[in-house]
Amino acid sequence: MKNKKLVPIYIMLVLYIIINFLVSFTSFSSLFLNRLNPILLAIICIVTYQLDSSRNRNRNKIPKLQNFIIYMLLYVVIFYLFGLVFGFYKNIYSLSFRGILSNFFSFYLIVFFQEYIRYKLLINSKTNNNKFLITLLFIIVNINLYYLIKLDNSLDIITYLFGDFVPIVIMNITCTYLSSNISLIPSFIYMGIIYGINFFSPIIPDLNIFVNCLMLLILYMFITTSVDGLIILDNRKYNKRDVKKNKSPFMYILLFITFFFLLFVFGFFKYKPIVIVSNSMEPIFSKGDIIIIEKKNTKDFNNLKINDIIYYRYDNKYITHRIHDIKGNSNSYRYITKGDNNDNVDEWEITDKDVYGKYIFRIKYLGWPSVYFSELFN
Amino acid sequence: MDTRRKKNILIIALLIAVLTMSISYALLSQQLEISGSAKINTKEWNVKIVKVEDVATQGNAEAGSTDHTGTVASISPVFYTEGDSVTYSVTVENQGSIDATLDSITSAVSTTEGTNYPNVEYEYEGIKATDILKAGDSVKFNVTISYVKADQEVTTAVQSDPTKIVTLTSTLVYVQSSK
Repeated sequence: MKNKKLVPIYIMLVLYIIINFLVSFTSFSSLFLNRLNPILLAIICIVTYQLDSSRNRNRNKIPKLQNFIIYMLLYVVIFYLFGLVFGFYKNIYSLSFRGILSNFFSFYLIVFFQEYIRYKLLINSKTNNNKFLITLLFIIVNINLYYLIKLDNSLDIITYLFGDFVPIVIMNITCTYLSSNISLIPSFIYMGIIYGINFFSPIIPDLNIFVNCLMLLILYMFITTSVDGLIILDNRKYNKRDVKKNKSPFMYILLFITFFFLLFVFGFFKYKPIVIVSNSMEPIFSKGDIIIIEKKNTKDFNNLKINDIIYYRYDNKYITHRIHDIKGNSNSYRYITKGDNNDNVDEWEITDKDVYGKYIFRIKYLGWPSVYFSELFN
Repeated sequence: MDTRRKKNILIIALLIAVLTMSISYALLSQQLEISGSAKINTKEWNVKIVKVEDVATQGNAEAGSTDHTGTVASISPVFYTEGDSVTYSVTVENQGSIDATLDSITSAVSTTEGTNYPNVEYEYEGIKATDILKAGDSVKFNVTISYVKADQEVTTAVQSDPTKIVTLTSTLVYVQSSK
């Protein structure tokens, strides 16, 4: 490492990670994490302060900053618009004055200290290897190693992977990019908005964890493309060698297709795919098939009739069976269902509010990977 | 108009959009679909049910099956005659670094007897809303579900089957403690 002034800072960050991990096993971990953690990072910040700031030779920061702010604001608007479709959940963090102040000091301030340290390390590092190392270091700083070792079932692992780990990785890569190619301020703004939503917004869109990850990834792609484009123009203006290449449009097409596919799978649109996990409706469809259902709204309930195949919720399970009989009146229908391959009708009755949708058509065999995956983790 | 000025106008327009959305959501909060609380645990926030087990049965009742995910517990005892009951113990742990307060417990009962099921009662003992669960602590409470005399006629598709399997799903909603 050519810049020896960085070595003590790297050592302090590694010690910080080790201390956090070891303290997690003790009974005063909460006190440490909430009160002493910001102080430790502040000390590292003070040591980092003596590093040279004049090495930031990025030009034309204002246009890059403008582009970045536009994409961040678009992200916030789209993120909250999705809440109108997916619903919201109440923020678990306290929004009282005391709660906001406590959370700001315990958790929010840490983010700014980390970004300051990251920025100083990056502008004093010349090689891409150093950038990779710094990014990796801050990913480890942000993940909870103690929580990792307590994951005890496959559902927890997947939830942690896509709900916590992958977003942390994407956010750290984005912050490294912003600090390297623009300045400290966009990194502050980026983390400030992402964490600000989690800590200080009264309601938060209840997005699926996969959709959330993909949104962060798309945001990263747009920011980097926009800023890289300005850097290319800049280099040409100053007759410098083009060190950045325009990203292939195929990447964006793939991202958008993946994004809309995820929205389709998680029920954003009127039609939704469902994987069949039993043979109760043979020969119409079988285990491993994918069926497409049309989501129902209230005015369509009067159109359900005997022999329609409906997708409904009962006893915390989703079932797709044929309507065998209908009781009640237009104010409140009750449906008795039966699987085509079952000898008897189902032992329960369901109401309008239990019906989620109506079967449209099937795609044979395409659902088998999901069935295997589900059985593997069950 | 130069590019920089256009971008500034766009930024101001987006800021106004964000502000308008904030005010609209605040005014229309009653119409928005808002569920309980966060489903994702982070290193700061990690409250979850770690154990559900049966501790006592009355009459001919059987403990049946139990399940838990996050802060949702499902218990499915099997009843035969009126008066049967089962008591379960539920353990909740706060593995995060933030103290939590129990905001509410929502309960849903489903049975095999169609849509009329007022013949089961349930009771929570050892826990109530506003209870504080400090970071690193755990709490154990009991839930008892009983098969009592039916208040109204129950529709059942299989009359000859004496077993009545009920499922009680309890969702604990925790928020950050402000104390």
